[in-house]
Amino acid sequence: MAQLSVSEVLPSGVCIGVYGPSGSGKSTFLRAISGLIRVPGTVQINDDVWQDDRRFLAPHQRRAAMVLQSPGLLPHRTVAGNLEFAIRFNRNAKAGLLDSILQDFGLVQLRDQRASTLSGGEQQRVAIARAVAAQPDVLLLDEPLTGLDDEARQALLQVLMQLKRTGITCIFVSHSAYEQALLADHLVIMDAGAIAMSGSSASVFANASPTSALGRELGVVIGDLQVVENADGLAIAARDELRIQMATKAPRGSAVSVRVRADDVSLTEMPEHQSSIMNTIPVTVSGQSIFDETPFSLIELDAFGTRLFARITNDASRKLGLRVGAKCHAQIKAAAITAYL
Amino acid sequence: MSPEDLQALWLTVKLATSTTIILLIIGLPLSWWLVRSQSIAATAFNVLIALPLVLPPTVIGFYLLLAMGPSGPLGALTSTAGLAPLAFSFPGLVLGSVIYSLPFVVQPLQAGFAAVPQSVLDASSSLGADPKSLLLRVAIPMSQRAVVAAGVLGFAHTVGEFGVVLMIGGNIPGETRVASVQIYDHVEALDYAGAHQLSLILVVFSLVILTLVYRVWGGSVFTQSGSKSA
Amino acid sequence: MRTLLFFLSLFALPNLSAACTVRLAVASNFRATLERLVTAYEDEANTEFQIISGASGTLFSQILRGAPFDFFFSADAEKVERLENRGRTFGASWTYAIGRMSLWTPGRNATAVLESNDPIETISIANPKHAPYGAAAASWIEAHWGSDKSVRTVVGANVAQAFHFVKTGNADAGLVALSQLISEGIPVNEYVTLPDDQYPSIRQKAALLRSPACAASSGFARFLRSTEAAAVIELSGYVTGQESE
Repeated sequence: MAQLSVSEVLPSGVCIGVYGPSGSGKSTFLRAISGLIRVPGTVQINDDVWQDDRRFLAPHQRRAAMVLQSPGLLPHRTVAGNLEFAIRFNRNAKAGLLDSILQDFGLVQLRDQRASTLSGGEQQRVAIARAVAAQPDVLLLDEPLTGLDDEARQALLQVLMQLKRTGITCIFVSHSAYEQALLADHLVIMDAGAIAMSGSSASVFANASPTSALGRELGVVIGDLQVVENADGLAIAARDELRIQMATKAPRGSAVSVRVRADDVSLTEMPEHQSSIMNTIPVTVSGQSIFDETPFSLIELDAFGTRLFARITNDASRKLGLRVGAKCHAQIKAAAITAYL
Repeated sequence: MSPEDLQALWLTVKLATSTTIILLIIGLPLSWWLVRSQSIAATAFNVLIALPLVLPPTVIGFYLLLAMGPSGPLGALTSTAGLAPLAFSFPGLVLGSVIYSLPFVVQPLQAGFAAVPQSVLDASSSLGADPKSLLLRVAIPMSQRAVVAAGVLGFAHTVGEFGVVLMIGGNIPGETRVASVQIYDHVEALDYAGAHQLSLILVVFSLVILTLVYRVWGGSVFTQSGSKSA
Repeated sequence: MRTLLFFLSLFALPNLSAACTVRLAVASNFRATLERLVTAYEDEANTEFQIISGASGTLFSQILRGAPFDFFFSADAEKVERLENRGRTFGASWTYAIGRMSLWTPGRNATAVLESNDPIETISIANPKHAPYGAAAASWIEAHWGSDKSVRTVVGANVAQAFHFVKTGNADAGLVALSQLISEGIPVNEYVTLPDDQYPSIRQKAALLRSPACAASSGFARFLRSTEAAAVIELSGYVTGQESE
């Protein structure tokens, strides 16, 4: 078990992503909050002190509900029975909670099915619904999507994104930058049992040092793009003058977000039309970081008011004569862009 | 079959039923604690509980008899509490059977409880389930087979018990003279026909129980515990 | 052939140390006395006596099924007589000892208890159905207390267990064998030996089960009926029979 050395005040009412390589202490952090493990220190949620020097509340006394990688459902109970298990211990539960949760999570059809007969994705959906039924002060999600097939994972991502909009406080542990980019409002990067970075998701994704735990996942999330064209899955989405081509099933007129990693952006002085790269966007250099310990520099770019990052070699940076205010073109492979609804 | 034989059979059923009920009441929380605890006390308890598997029943009966005597700890306890002495009484037999059959109940339960995934327990306690609810609403329902197996084994083993009963029973009709002792008496009195009759009933009973166990659990209930009979 | 030879020699080995083995099957209550008798019988070298003790009924069943015993010392007469009637003995059986029964009241003067009818809470006896001491005890109780229900009777599988129930304090009185009280060194005032006309006699019979395997076997049979043996048996708390042979 990783050592834990964390001192941080985190916002409530949002989804807090906890990201880091395996062994960085993410799960330990979550289990310490839930009380499943005992780590000396103080845990306070809003005005409730769950543990300090004098007291230590057991997991069942903490208004936290946990969803683990393994759904942990009661196999002998039905879907409704599993939700009732959580509601039983929820003193604030009002009549009708069960039905509204079943409704919200699309579980009405599965209501009377035994948990042991559900697919992995269905089980995890029930597990999330069950945790929500406990109406906790904080929802703790420990790699809930890991190990699921892609279809189930996408479906549950939608569930979690909807959930996040309800304003529930959740702490979402995942080693997938993709999931974090989608879900985290506030991102905490952990390394060796300590917090390496903590801040709004956008700022952390943008400002992480290339040697940090975020590493190759460094990049930006561009939201509120509108799909203006979609021909058999190859779509163009736009915001103001920014136009980005990508693969998505999102139909024309729908809104998408995209994630663009710094490693997937290359720079050229003149737009190249004889290239396989479909996105060529005129940009202005707005910042430049050269890290002596690596052969790469990180270039911050402005594309019609939207920030992008490019990671290129120090040599290339010198050859292009890049400095703040210089104009050039950013090239992004359509295939490198992840889009989500 | 003589009325005495019938009385012995009925007493055996009564003894095995009472013993099984008490064993489950004690065994469920005890096994749960043994599975969950890593303390030295738990290890020591595991060893103590397993002792009857290894020791001859006569040894247990012998020490129980000493303990139930006026200078023994149990005898002192019953006399200060103003209760009848335990030796040669039905409650005494129940106590002896509980001790003697305890491993046959605790070991399948431990195996069952140990198979409950930690993730289920973690998730359940984070949802607000206190330790008692974890046992009653999570561990026991998830270990139904183990619970039934433990009950069946405890019952069957008590029916087959002989050594302890012989040592502490005093052969009192309707009180401590169970079927196994009655069979022994028939054999010693050279009444082989009587012995055969009563034995046949026990053999049929055992066959039915074992068939049931193997049918329902594929015999897996025995993988956790060696069996040593009286 | 080689293995066979080895196999044979394996079985031949014991006979190198003892030319003759005599197996004595004996009821548990007489074992200690029999050991004394074997010691007293100074046999010429090369004879080994093996003592197998157990419940008489068990030994009886084993003998019926061909257990290789030379002598059988039963705790009663019936079992030996049954063997005799079935032609399973070699020669006639004889009464080797007559058991004497005592009332034992640890911590109290037994004579006083008996004479003043001091209350006895629980009395321990051997099983009347198959143990001779038990049958004797049951008939003595019937004759003395009749239907007096104030005395609780607990039944041991044999007289050894009846003794044990009293010894551990679980019964405050017992009808046990005098031989047990003597060999355990129980103070004489704690027990009273009951007159032998107050209960059916506990005749313990013995028989030779097969033709003597060696001289020691027949020699021991003769020795058992000698005055020297009778002295050992009587010192152990038995009466020796006059009606033998």
